[in-house]
Amino acid sequence: MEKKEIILKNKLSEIRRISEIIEKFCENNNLPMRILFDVNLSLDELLTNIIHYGFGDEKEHTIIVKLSLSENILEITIEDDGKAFNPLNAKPPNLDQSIEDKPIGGLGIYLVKNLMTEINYKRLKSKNILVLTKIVTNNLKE
Amino acid sequence: MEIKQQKRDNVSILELIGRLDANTAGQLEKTLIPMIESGEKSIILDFSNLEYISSAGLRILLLAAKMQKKSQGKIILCAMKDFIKEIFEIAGFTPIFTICDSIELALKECE
Repeated sequence: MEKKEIILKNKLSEIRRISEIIEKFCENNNLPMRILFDVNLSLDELLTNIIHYGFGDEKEHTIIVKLSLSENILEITIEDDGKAFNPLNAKPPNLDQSIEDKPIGGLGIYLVKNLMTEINYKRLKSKNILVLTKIVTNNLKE
Repeated sequence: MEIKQQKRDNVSILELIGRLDANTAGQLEKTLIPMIESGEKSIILDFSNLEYISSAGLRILLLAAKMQKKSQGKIILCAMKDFIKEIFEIAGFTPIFTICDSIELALKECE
């Protein structure tokens, strides 16, 4: 099993840094480009939300991202000590709306839900713990 | 992200190179929105060298598409990589843009 833990500060510039770490992780484990893209986009959307809206103060906070790869299951855990927020409760967009009625925004979490195989959320000891699971299928490995 | 701008057959083409995300969406907004405001009816966005898009990028594109719809103009996207096309499909954006496989086909849409 391959494991990695990344400690981030609540700054948007950290998202670029983690994307480079993910790129290396995928490269070292021969994961396909497609997985790299899906994981980076999901982390980008979720971390942007946490950094923008998660903390009600101006203080420095730590966000921990853990990666683990076992066989064909990639698991990504995001832990933050911000306000309780379960992204699974976010209202999905109405995709049938006409261009005039479509609201600007609100797509980030919906993209994550579609790109990941499974998402689990729990609130534990004043922390948000979000576990994303992505199955690396043979089809994607080709 | 780098934005290369050119005109062909009187149609503006913006080539987006790199990543369209929260860090770079503002850059596209500053280029694209004034073009729409100045009344350009057809604008082609060349995605052939776009490597990444997030919801922050989709946001600007939707804003631009709404403005063009009001002024009866068009935004044509072309040469999208497969994984970017899939993001458009998930987001329900494919019906609201004209999407072409190449710049040549996009230019035909403007004739």
